[in-house]
Amino acid sequence: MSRLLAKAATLAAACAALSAHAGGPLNLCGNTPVKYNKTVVLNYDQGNMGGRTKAQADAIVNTAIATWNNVSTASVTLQRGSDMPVDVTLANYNTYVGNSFSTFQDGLSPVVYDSDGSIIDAFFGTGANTSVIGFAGSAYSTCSYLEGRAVINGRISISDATMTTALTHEIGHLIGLDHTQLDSDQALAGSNYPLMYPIAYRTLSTLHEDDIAAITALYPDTNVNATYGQISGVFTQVAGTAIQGANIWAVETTTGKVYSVVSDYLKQGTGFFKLLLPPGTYNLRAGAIRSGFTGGSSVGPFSELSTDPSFVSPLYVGGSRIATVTFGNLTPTPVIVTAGCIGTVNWKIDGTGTLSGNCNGRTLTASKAGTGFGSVTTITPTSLLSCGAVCSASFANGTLVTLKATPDSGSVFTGWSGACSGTTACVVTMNSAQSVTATFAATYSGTLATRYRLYSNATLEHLYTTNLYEYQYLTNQVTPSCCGWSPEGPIYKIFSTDASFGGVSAVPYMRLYNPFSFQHHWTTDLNEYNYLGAVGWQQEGPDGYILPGPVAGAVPLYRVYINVAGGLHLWTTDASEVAYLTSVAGWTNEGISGYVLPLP
Amino acid sequence: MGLSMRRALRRIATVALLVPGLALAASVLPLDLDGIIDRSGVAFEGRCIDTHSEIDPSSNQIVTLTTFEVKDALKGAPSNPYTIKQLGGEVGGVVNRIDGVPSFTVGEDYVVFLPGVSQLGFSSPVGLAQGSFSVKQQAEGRTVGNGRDFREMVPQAALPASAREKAAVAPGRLTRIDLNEFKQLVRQRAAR
Repeated sequence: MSRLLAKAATLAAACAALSAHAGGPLNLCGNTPVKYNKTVVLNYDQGNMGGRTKAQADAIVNTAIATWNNVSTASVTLQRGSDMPVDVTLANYNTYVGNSFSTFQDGLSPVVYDSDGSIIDAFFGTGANTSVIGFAGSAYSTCSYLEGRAVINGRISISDATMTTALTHEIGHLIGLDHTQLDSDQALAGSNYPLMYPIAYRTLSTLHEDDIAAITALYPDTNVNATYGQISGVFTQVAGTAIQGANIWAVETTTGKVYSVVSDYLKQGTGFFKLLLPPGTYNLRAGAIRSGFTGGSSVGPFSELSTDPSFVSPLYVGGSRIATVTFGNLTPTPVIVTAGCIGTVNWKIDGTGTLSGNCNGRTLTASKAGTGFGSVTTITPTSLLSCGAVCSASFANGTLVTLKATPDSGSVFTGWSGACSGTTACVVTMNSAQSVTATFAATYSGTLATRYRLYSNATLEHLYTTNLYEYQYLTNQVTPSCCGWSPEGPIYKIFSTDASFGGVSAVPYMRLYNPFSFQHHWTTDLNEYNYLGAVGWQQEGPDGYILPGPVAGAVPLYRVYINVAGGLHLWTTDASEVAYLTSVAGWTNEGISGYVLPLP
Repeated sequence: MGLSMRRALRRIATVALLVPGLALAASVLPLDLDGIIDRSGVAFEGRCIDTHSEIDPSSNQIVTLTTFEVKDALKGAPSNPYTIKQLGGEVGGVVNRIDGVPSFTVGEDYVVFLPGVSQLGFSSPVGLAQGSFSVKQQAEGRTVGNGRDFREMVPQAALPASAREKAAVAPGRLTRIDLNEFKQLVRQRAAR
């Protein structure tokens, strides 16, 4: 029911022609999504937001609206207007917010700072202001939204990061987005669930690709066909009866990126769905909406009540969700998307169906091999391919593609294999699927090991380890329900032995443990190591070796700190994470701990 | 029907000609089960026997009134039947949708946790959807769940025996547990 369960415990973040992803549009007018046809101008409240000053409150709202404004493929624009003429309270709520027609046409879209939580309490029950963060939305008429409103609870005690996440999600609803259901079923880590997931597991500060496609689908900019292809069709039972309320998603086979929509989201009674997809090769899948996502937590237009189509046969059998259905079943039929392509997939719940249209390009798969590092990119067409360990891109039939391999410092390029050979530029004619491999050899000494990051809700600690067994054990992958840490995946590489890279010698990266606060700490500074040892930390010795200075091919490892729970440190190579934590969540940037090697 | 109600309906009927709807969405913090129990003044297992929307004369809002037949009081002393007033609903073609506020299906059973009634008479479940647990008859018996993972809401050691067994053999979400064991958990906490 709740449109968003904000994850407060995480300190790290704390129509006819249009498709809309996530569950689809929040509201329909007939079979047409309701949306704004004008700039959304928000009017901020006077007064404070509980313990936050007006300036601090304004900054949170600014961040939330900027997140949506920054989607380059969407045309929706939110902006700040003049402030409300008064400090909105329960006493004057109906005059400035309320639900009377006059408040929908007064030229104001209030963002109310409910400083003492009295508005929340009045409308949700006494004491609700200890758990309800706020609410937001828009009034609509003649298929367009007129004005919006948001009420934010200033009495509730949550971090700025959590408040920002919650408010961004709510503004997503305000501009017309419904929920999405992409989660562990699609192998996503909790931190990377879409922002429009009904429960706020997402801790990354950026939007998920499904959020971006969703807002683009509802408000497509003129450049949309340069970025996305379009797949539409119907999803039916074997006999051809439309299936309403199924979760339909496309997963890109190389990157694992996923995009979703609910079948018959425009309520046409046909099982129609439409997805905007960036270039790539996709498998199309379908499943059922989780039965917990009803009412306000609903995904799509058929899950308001437990008796709605999303929760009954054929999507639920004997009270249980059906197994995931794949277009093409055991040999999935690939849908190869190129920018601007239009394809149609009409398929059935038994996995059979047809693909037509021009989303049938040729896939080029490029891989990297060897002990070294480097990049593989396309020279022509430009910038369509930029590889991790493996990458792929789809090209129109007959396209001539030229690839370049560039070794990082500390590595050399030793040659192509597959569709190319030699060490010069690789030219491939895309008249069929092609694969090439670029091999890089390392010129460094020592042994590299992958570093994993995990998180404990109990101690609020992020732990880093190169011991895969420790990572799997603590995250319950060895013994279920063992330890409760959340896996956050591999993050970078460090040396497990004394080493050098690009002419720079690595130094020991010392680990300590505090038996009182249950926190671990890492440093290359022996003075810090010795000092902490003298004040009660347990010295655990070298936990690997990292580079003390910058080297081409290596990336900075940042250290940030927040004075919460006795003091918490976090180490990351993600500069955007540092920027978010320090600008929004109250962390302090303590600089660069050293340099490590990025994952391929 | 009183004068104020007739006036309110006329006002809404006028609005209906011009404004088909208002859609809002609420955000809430995640609460553990103890937090839900502690924040509630009344908790019970009950069957939804009526739900309808109307204009609320005290707040001039569209509200939904839901009535439960109380089967088993777990905390406080709920009257029987027990009616709650929540923001949102549909009257005369005017939709006032408040996403986040739980909805209930007539004929279905729930365990609901309710805060104190506000000065305007509102009382949505604690933590909104989190305070509304649906009761289902499954192969293993009657179970409850609110859509969230019980392992996020209840400490491992406090999980009922059958839930611990289920969790041990089926890693992943634990979204439903035995109704009677759940009620025992609630009563134990409420008695403190």
